Amino acid sequence: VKLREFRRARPLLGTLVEVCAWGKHDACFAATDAAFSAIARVHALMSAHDAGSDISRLNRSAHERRVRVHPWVGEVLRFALQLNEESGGAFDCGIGSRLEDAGFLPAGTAPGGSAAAAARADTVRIDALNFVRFTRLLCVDLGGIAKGYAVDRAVEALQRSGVAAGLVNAGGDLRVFGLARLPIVARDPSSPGRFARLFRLRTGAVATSAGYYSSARVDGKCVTSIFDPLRQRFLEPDFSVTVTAPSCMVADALTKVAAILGTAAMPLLQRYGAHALWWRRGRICTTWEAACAAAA
Amino acid sequence: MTVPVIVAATPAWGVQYLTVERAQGALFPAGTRFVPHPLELDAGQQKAIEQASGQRVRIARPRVWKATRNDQPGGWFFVDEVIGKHEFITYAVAVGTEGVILGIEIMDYRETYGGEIRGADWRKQFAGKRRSDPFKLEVDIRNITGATLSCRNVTNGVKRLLAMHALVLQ
Repeated sequence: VKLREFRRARPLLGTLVEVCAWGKHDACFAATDAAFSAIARVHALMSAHDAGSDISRLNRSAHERRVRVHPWVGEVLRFALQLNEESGGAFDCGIGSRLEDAGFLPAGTAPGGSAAAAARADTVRIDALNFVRFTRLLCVDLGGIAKGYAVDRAVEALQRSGVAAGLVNAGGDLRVFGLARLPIVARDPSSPGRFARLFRLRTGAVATSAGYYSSARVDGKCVTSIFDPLRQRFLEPDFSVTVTAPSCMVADALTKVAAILGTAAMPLLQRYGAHALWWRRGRICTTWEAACAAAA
Repeated sequence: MTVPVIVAATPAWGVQYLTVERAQGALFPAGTRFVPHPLELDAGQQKAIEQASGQRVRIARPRVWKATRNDQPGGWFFVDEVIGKHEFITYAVAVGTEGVILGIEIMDYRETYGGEIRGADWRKQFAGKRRSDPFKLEVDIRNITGATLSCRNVTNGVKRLLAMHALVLQ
């Protein structure tokens, strides 16, 4: 049976979000509507650019008193804290003030006087009812994980709507279900107008972190928006890393861990059923060492 | 394990999402009627829109439809185009009677690019992959990972349309 494809795209999450559904026209229409609603909701809850979001409320007040957040925000924060511990601090959503200093976040995002501080289990407390308390001034940014989470919620909305197959692509963080193997394409980090097919995905998620389209100058150097909290510096934009995982939140977050830790991230990737590809100076490798050796 | 990759040139790709009719249906309730609303912006209006929005007005004849539902005003429907560094985007905006944005739909997206990189034999490392499938870029390109193109151009275009709505249509 050949199913009809229904595709829409909207500007959300600071990028173009594409939602595809396969099935009957009316069902697909309602399903893609529901998917966009879910993404808009995640955006409204988790954007550090938006003063009314849960994240902005946390950054303003959670060091003074406990702030209740939406269960979705609670879920993402808990995973971020868990990944911080599992990655030995490589994944850290407490780098909002660093991102603001470099111009990746608008001025005034971080509360006055908040230096960069790690968002860890001992600085961010969250209880079962999603009350959050910071033990010190902190500027949390979920930019490295919320987009993936939004894709997961949108896929869930598609599946609940009963369409046979679906795909959500939020500026390169994408997840599919119900399709025969889907060829996944990535941009060349040294020339992002060029593409290569990486692999085929039947079901699950893929995300890529790279410097193209989101770089800044810090201390005269061109850098990506990926901040390495272990070495206290932004990564250079000469590479990309692509991660596949069962969920898009996990794939999105693990691209940062893989970018920062390199091959040392492998055990953690394995634990989450994830795989990474590093692309640097014209070579695509399954280990970071190989990517570096090729460049030498 | 690494293999060098080579590049084969192809000029452009694009995705068509919604026709005008479909975009209207997506942004307004069922039963809404749309009447084209021909508009020609004079130099003074163009300048006023540019000043109010901070965006250049490139088109003197914007594509505008007036929406009505049960003979009552139902707002406005605009089709507009923005051009980025490599991308061309046609999009639709619905504005309600109060001047509030009801929704935005991308209708068409085109991008120029530097070509597909072929011969990526590193894929042999993965079990179960097949390389024989003909790669139809215009079909498969939706699956780009790491494509984080900014939607700033669309956001700026919407600002310009809202200024036009406030200055010319209200």
